[in-house]
Amino acid sequence: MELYTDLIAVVDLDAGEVEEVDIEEDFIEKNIGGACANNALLSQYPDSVILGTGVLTGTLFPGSALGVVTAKKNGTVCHSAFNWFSGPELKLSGFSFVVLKGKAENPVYLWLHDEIADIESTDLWGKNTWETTAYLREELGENRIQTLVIGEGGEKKSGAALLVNNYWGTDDRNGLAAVLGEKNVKAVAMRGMGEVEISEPEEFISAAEEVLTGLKSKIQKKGAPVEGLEAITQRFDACFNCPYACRNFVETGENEGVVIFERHLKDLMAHGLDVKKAAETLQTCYQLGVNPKYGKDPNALTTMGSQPAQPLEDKEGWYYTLGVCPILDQFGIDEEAAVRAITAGTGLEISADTLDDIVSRL
Amino acid sequence: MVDSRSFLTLSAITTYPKEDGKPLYYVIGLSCQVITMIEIDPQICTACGACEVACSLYREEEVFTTMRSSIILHREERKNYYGVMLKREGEVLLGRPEGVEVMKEGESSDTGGGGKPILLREPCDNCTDAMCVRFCPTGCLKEV
Amino acid sequence: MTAELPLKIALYTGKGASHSWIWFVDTLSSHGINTIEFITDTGDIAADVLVVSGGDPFALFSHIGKHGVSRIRSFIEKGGTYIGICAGTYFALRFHENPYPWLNLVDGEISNFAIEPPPNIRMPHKYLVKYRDGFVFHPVREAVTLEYNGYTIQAPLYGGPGILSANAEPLASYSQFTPKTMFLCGKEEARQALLGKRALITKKVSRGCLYLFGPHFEHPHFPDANRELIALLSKIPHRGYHVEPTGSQIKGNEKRTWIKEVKRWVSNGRLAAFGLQNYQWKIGEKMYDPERLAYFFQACFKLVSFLELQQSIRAIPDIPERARTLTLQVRNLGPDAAQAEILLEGIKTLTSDLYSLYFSTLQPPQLPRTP
Repeated sequence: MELYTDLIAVVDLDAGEVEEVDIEEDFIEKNIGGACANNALLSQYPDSVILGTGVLTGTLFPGSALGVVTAKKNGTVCHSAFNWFSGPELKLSGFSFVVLKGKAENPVYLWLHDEIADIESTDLWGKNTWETTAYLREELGENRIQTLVIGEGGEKKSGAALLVNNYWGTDDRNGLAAVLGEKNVKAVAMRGMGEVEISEPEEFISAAEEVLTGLKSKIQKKGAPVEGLEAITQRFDACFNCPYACRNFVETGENEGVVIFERHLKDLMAHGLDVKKAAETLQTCYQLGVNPKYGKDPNALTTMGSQPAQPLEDKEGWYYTLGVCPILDQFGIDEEAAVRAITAGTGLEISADTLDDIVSRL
Repeated sequence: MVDSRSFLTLSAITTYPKEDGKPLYYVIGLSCQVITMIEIDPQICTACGACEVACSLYREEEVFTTMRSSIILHREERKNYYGVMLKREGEVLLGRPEGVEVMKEGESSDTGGGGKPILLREPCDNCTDAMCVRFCPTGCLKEV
Repeated sequence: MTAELPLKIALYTGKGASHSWIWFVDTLSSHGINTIEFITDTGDIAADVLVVSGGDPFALFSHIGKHGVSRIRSFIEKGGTYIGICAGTYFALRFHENPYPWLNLVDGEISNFAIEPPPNIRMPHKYLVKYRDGFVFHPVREAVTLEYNGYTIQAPLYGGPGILSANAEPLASYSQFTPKTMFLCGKEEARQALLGKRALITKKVSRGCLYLFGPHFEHPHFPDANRELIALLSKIPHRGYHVEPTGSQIKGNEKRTWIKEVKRWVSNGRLAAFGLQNYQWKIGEKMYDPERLAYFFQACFKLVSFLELQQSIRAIPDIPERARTLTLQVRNLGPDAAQAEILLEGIKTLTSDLYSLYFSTLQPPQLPRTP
C-alpha cells in the first residue's frame, strides 16, 4: 500500500507472539490512517494499545512527524501524539501500525526493525526514561533508534503518566503511558531502514513543496513563545521535516539539557515556577515520565489518581489522521494541497469531503 | 570568465577516416558547465532531517527512505549536539556547531561527527535544483 | 558431454580478501552466471576458473601458504584459468625479485613501486605499502580510462598495479584519467606512474591461462567494463565441473521459521554495523573501516530478503545462530583489531554461504544433458 510500509504488528503480550498482518488498501481507503485507523484497529482488537502512523507520516510533506497512540481509558477512547522522529521511524521499521494486546507476564520491551517485531523481556523496570533509552541504544548498537518509553509514572499507572520519546515528553495528554504500564511494556524501540512507496512522486512533491513554500512565508519565529525562554535557549530544534523549530533546548548541566514542549513548560510556570526552574523541573518530569499539567512536584506526580480524558480539539483529528503536527495549524496549512498529496501518494481517489467525513467519526 | 569550480567538457569527439586512412578529429560540441555544489550553514540547521529523505527520493525516485542519501544527520541527543555530513567525491563535508570542515575520505574527525559509515552512500552528484535544498526549511543547505 | 556443463568459478573469499568479491558475484549474477563456489583455501580447486580479487596480498599469501600456492600453480598447469584482480594480480606477478614465494607466474615490473614515492596529497592510509627497500604506492583511485580492444572503457582502480614489460600479452592499458579520478599524489607523478602502462594482461602457462587485472572491471557501476569481463569469461573453456547445491531444501513453516531467525539477526547486525562509531582497524597491511562490515551485512540482508519471498529455499541449519553471534560481536566491537578481524572473517563466510544458498535456490545445479 503506497505511503505505508506493508505491515500491522499484532503483538499478543499474553502469548509472547507476534502476528504480521498485511495492510489492505480497503483499510486505508476507509480509515486513511493515524487516529482514524487506530480507532478501527481498536474496534477490532478491544482493550489494546494501538500505535499508528498517519498517511503522510515520514514523507516530504511538511511537519509529517506525527504518530498516534490510541487506547481506551476509563471506557473512553483516547488519543495521544508522539513527534520528534518516532512517527517516521515507526513507519520505516516496516510496521505502520502496532497493536499491543493482552498483558505481558513480566516487563518487556518491543523492538521493531526491518519488519521484525521482537518481544524482549527486560530488567529495565524501575529505570528512568533516560537510562532506558540510553541502555536500548547502547544494547542494540545504534543511536538513531527512537524509543517510546514509560518512566516511574507509567510503571505506577499514575493518572499523570507521560509517554516519553527518547528523552523528551510527548503530547501524551491522556496519560496512555499508564496503559503501557498496565501491560508491562516498558518501551517500544524502533529503527526504520525501510522504504515507503509513492504512487505519483512528482505530483506528491509538487503538493508538498507548495505547502512548504506557504509555511515558510508565514513562519517568522523559532521556539516556544514563553517569556524569558529564549534567553536560556542553547539552540532550536525541529521534529522530522518540520519548518517550525518549535522546540527550545535548554542546558541544565554539563553536556545535558532538556528539549522543551511549550505546553509542559507553561504548565510548570502556571504552578509558580520561573522559566529556568520550570525547565529544570521539566527535565525531571521527563525522566520520571510524568505530565506537569497536574503539579510541579515530579515525584508526587508518579502516584496521581486517574485524570479525565482530554479529547482532541478543533482540527486536531484531521492532523492526527494525516500524521502532521497540529502545531503548524497556526500558520494555516493548505488543505487542498494536503488532499492532493494524499491522493498522489496513495493512488486512491480521496476527496476533501471524504477525508472530513472519516475524521468526523473521531 | 569561468570560476574555479567550472570545467570544460568536450561533449563529443568523432573520428572520420581520411582517404589515406589516418583519422581526422572533429570536436562536435564544446560546452562550459558550472558545477553546482551544496554548502552547509550549520548554525541555522534545526536537525529536521528533511534533507535525508529529499536526497534519498532524488536517488531512488519513487520511495521515501533515509537510507539512500548522500547527506546524513548526526545527533548526540542529550547534549543537543547535531549537524549534517555530506558525502562528496573523496571527502565528507561536516557541518557542525563548531563550523564547517572538510574531512578527506578515510580520515577521522577528532571531535566526532564522522562516525557513521557514510562512505557506503553515493557521493553528492552536484545536481542542480537539488531536492535537499528545496526541502531544507531553514536555508541551511544552499547551492553555490 | 562435459561441454554442456556451465563454467564453474571458484572465488577466493578467505583471509586477505576484502569486500570487492561481492562486486564480482553481483555482476556475474546479473549476467546470469550463478555457478560460483566460494573457497577459503586453495587446497583443491575443482573449477574452471579461480578468481582472487581485491584485498591484502600479504595476508593472502600468509593464509594460502606455500602449499596453497603450489596447488594454484598445479591448477593452472592442468588447464585452469586464474583471474587476478588488484591484490590477486600482485599475488601472481613476479616483480623486483619478489622475496615471497607468491604465484610468480608472470614476470614484470610494476610502475607504482618506488624507493622514494611522490609526496602523498590525500588518503594517506590508502597510499603506501612498504615493500622490500621501497614502497608500492597508489597514485590514483576511482574511475580511470583504459584502452581496450581498440576503444576506451572506464573502470575503477583501488590499489591495483600499473604493469610494465611483463612477459605476457597486453589486453588493456591506462590511457587517461577522468573527472572522477581521485589523485593521491600530484597529477604529473600519477600520469608518469600509470598512463600508458598495462592494466590487463594475459599469459598462457602450460595448459592453463592467467588474466591479471589492475582495475576492477567487475565493479557494478561500470557496465562497459562488466560486459568485457563477461565476454572474457565466455571464452574460457568449460572442463565439466559439477556445481553441488548448498544446504538442504526447506519450505512451509520450516522455511518461515528459519528465514525469520536469519532475518532477525542479519537485520540486527546490519543496523548495529551502520551505527558503528568512528573506528579504523589495521588488519594485516590493510585499513578497514566500519563501512566494510556494513557492506557485508547489507549484502546479507539483500540475500535474505530475496529468500524470504521464495516458497521453497535451500538452507543451512546453523546460519541463524552464526548470524546471532556475529550481531553480538558487532554490538560489542571496539577499537580492537583482533576482534574486528574475527568478525570480518565470520561475516565474509556468512555472506558467501548466503550467496551459495541464493544460487542454489535460484537455479538448481546444472546436470549434463543426455546426448
